[in-house]
Amino acid sequence: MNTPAPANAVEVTGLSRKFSSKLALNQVSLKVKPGRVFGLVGANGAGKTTLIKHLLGRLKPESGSVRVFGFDPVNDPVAVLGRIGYLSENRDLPAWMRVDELLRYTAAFYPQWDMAYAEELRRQFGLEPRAKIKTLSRGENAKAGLLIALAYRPEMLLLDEPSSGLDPVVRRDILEAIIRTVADEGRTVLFSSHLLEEVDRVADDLAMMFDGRVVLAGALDDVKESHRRLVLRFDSPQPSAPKVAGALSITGSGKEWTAICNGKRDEAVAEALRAGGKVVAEDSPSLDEIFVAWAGAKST
Amino acid sequence: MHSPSAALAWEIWRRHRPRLIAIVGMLLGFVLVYPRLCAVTGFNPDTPDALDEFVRKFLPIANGGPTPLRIGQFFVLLFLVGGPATAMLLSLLCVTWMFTFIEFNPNAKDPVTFPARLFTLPISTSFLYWWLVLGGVTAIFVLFESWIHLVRQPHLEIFGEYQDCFGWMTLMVLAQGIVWALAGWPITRLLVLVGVLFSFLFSPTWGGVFGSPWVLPTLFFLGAVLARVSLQKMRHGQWQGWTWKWAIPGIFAWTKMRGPARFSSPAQAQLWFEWRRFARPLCILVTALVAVPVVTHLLLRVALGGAPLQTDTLFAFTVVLVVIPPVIHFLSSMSPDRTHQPFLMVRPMTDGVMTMTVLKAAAIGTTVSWVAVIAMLATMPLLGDFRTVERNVSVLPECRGAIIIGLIFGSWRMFAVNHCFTRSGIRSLAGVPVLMFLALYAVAIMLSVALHSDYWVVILQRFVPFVPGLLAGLVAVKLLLAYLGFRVCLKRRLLAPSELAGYLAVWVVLVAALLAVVFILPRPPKELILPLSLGVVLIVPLARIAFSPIALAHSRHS
Amino acid sequence: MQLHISTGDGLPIYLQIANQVKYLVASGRLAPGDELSPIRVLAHQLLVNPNTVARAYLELERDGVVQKRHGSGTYVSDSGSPLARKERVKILSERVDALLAEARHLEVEPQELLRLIKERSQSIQPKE
Repeated sequence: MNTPAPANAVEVTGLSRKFSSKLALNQVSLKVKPGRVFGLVGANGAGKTTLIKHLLGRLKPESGSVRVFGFDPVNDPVAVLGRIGYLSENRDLPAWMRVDELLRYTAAFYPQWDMAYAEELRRQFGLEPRAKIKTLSRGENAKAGLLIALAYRPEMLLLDEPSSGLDPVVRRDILEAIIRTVADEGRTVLFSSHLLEEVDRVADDLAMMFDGRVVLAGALDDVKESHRRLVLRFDSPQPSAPKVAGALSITGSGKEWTAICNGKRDEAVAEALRAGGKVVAEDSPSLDEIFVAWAGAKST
Repeated sequence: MHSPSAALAWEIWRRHRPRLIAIVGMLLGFVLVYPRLCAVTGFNPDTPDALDEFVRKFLPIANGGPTPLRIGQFFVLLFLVGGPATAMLLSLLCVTWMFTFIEFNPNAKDPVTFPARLFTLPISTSFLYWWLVLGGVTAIFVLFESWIHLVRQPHLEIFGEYQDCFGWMTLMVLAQGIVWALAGWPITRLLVLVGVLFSFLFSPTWGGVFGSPWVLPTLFFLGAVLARVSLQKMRHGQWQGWTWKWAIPGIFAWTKMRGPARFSSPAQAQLWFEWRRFARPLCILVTALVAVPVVTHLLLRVALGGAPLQTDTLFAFTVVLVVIPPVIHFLSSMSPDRTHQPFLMVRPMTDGVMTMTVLKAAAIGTTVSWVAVIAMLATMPLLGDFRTVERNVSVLPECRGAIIIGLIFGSWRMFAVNHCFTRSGIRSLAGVPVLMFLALYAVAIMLSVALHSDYWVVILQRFVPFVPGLLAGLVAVKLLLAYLGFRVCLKRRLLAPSELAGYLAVWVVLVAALLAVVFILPRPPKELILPLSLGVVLIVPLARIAFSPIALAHSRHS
Repeated sequence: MQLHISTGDGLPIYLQIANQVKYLVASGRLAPGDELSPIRVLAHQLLVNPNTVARAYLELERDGVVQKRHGSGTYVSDSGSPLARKERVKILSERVDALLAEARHLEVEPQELLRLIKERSQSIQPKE
């Protein structure tokens, strides 16, 4: 292909998608830079899986465009899928296959498959080669899926809620795989999760989705730094949550309230002072608190 | 729903609603329409032996040689003679299946299972058991009596043996017992069920054994006990953990065809995948269905020393053996959701590769399964006087070969042509193959009814000279559609040019082979040469193959 | 190098790493000239993004706690006690700030606090 090397691994522009009457994606745009870990967070039903399906070509964009490594997943499925290693939360490996058959079968599709590496991973994950996939436990099933996604060292690892329902040991394996992928030069990871502490550990960039829209996108450190958590103390007990403009959310009771604000810290502080409260403590909220604050703000 | 009984009844109704409506519809159809149909065609259902009547009516038809009219008449006659009996058989078997209460669950280890959720409801095993057994027995009784008393069934000597209500009830109870006992061993269960079914169907031939009044009640009792025990054991998971300690699989393990150590291309890997996924199980199923009755029969003959099969029965047996593979292939090609696995859709391969490998795997599977059928047909002489059957059928030996080849091709064709409808992901399209089949059947009946009325015969005869022109037009449409379809595939790069060339070569070879079979072997009359050749060209799938990758792409990128 | 990361802390992970390394150096568990774990290895061990570890090492280098040698890794700098002492004081002053804030909250005067410290220091000493 004579296309120049793309600047971004993934470029989504103005993507919209409707399912019957529900708008699953609403003018979604994002860019995933190569060589970085991109975390996609959002509540259940926010549109993360729908977005990922567009990247795989499983869905056709109703409006807008999707480009993965410069290729269109719908018109060029082989070019796109040959560069992606995909693990989904649904365990859809063929139940009748054995583990060794699965490896041999998948190897045929990817010219850059490394048999020795696949064997090493298989041993590391503790998967018996002659075991039938339908006899594997949930965790082993996830490891098998991860194995065939990693063995050919794809340019991009695409994980859709990989840790759902898995025990901590398997979750560690998945995180290790993510780190190993990105530590090798130039390889990208895009994963969606609602286990925010995992996203916090490994993500470089973040995008937060609510109701089919991207409400927040940027480098993870920037996102965390731009949010502040203020502990406010009011002179008199407040019967209900005081209205502090500039704050995303405010929780608490009586005299002490905690407000989370995004970038509008000074405005929030001024508002609080006007309402009769003062700032007793201030620090950075965790990603969990940021997420819940946004969820609360979106629902009001 | 006010009680568990009502709830269970509602579940049967809800799950099998289309089938129940079909059964009642069939019953009503035969009650109301059948006598009129008999009157129209001059067939008297009250004759002492309908088979004699059939042969008597068939001979004048057969004497003229096979023309489309006569073939139509033959099918109508077959329907009139065997229709009610077949319908009764099918409906009774369907009700039996309904009361085993199993459901289809493609994700479970055993795809056909007794719903475990029933065991989490506050009903005792006894209640469930008695409801299902008594319900089943009652339903069989009601249905059986309706068929016998409401429908004017032609008297068939063979069929007289099946007019035993208690026999059907025994079959039902045995089926329940076997299905529940062997929950978790689908293949063993299938083999045993087929064995039992065929033993029942061919029980008239062992008159000595089944004539004794003790056999059926004993079997009924055994079946009932087995059903009760199995239900209990299934509920408390006592069958789990049981493995079949059999040395033989171990011996075969190292010689088993495991596939190459490294596949040389995605197409080869995908072919292996499709073989393992559907073609090999299909082969095994057809082989089992064909082999089990023959082997059971032979074993019982040897063990019990029964008489050889009568010619009529042997003929029926042969026909059944030959009909099983196409039917199984048709049913198998109808299942729409198999390839929609996300696992396959994420592999970097084109839709063209997926389509072509399905067709190749189907071809291999069909050929292998027909090898088994032909092997079983070769053992027919052991079961009875096959020569007499051959003489009665009065079909030349070469024609038999041609028919078999036609059936092999036809079985494969089911997959090829249904693929583009069932894999498109559009639900309304998935029903098209069934509709086409029914439409064909309806046309055959209408034609044959029309042929008995002189008025219509004259009109139809005026159309006969137009038939070659019509066929040629259809061929042109077919080629045009194929051209359009393939052009779109190539443009969207769904299909590689080499794959297209490969299939076109196969198409040419198939057409040539079928033409050879049709013309060299039976030597048809001159006026039929053109229509037959055009028919052959029409039959070998091309246009629908062209649209298959497009349909697959549509479902892949919905 | 035994480090512990907690994600709910509110403190960015790279700062946690940097602080803990500084503490290890200040308390002597990491001697001058010792090599720090390579970035990849530490990232694997802690299950964090290698870029985060890299950023932590950059912070440490900027503060002069560690030095990067061409291609052969990161080493604790040989600077003597003044820097170590500066780090120790910095760590302690953060704790003192927290203590003072708490004291103000509980309405205890700084004088009373000092007296408390002396008292506690005397009662602890015999045990040493």
